[in-house]
Amino acid sequence: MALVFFTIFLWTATVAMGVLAWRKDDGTFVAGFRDAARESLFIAPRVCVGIFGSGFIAELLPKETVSSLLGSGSGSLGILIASIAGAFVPGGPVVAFAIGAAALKAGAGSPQIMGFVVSWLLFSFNRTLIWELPVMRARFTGARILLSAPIPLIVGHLTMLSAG
Amino acid sequence: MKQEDTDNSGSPAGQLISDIGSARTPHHPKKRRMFDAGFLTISAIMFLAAGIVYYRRGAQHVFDILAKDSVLAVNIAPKVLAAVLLAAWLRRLLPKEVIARHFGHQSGIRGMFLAVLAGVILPGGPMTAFPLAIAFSQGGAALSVIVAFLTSWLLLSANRTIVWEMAFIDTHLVGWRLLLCLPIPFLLGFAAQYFYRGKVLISEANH
Repeated sequence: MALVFFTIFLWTATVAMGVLAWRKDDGTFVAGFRDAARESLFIAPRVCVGIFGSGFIAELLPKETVSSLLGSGSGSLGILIASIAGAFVPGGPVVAFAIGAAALKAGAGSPQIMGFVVSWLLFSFNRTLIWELPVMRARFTGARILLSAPIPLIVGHLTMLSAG
Repeated sequence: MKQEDTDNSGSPAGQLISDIGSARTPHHPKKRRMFDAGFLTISAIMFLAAGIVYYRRGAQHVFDILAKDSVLAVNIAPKVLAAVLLAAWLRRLLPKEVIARHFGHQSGIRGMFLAVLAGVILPGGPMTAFPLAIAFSQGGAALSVIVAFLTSWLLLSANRTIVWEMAFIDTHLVGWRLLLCLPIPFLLGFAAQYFYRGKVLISEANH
């Protein structure tokens, strides 16, 4: 239900942008369309590799190891392990979310996966290295990471509390 | 079409490192390559994993996984298309300078609120978000506003959540995550203001 709502929201926003671009009548519509085509060509192979690759990896994840290390019973240590793993996942959102989903299927608990996802969102090492450090520089990046450091653990534990 | 880019670039790994070292003008990041090191790495991992599944469980199992994931790919495709179109038009209708002018020079709670909103609606990846944070700083935004903006884009980006996160993770769990993460950009903004008061974290060298 929520997914349907957000999908409708997404398409409404897209159509609204398209209408605005069209009404400007200065080539914005076509230029944006061309940008999107180029971007799609870039994204499509990555999405496919991310989806199929994580499907195969999910099949190979050792279920016992995943549920003992990251299962709901693994508690705070599991959240910590998942949060550290999240920061070091290579690649973009497809890879990170697909691995999170695969781990959930293999028996990981939701507080642990919450820690994993939030940690990837905040600290993803290749985004930090390639995009944040060169633009924001070390002083800002270091401060931001330091301030954000406890967040994945806090979110993981709050999930644990709310799940009872 | 873009293969020639990869041909004259030397080793992908070497390119990655030289990108970091030479990024003196971050406002014009280098052109992306169709087949870069990251893509080649995850492709290699995919083929390796498929090979191991085939070796252990047989061809039927490989086909089962391919069929199941094809359904997922078909489900995601139209949403990705919508998001890509939305981002492309929004980038042309609302260029970085305009966002920076309207959201950037703010401070205080109002500024943080607008910055969090900008982080939620901003389409596009890190090549948009970080230079925009610098533009905010040039426009005179407070540190709290910049931290709130980046944290909001990292944790609450509507684009990333709708297209990618909800495709893979149960929407109930995604909803919980958004709820728990909602106050974090504000908290980190205040924390930055408190702990780094009077310190220069973004200097002229960034501009």
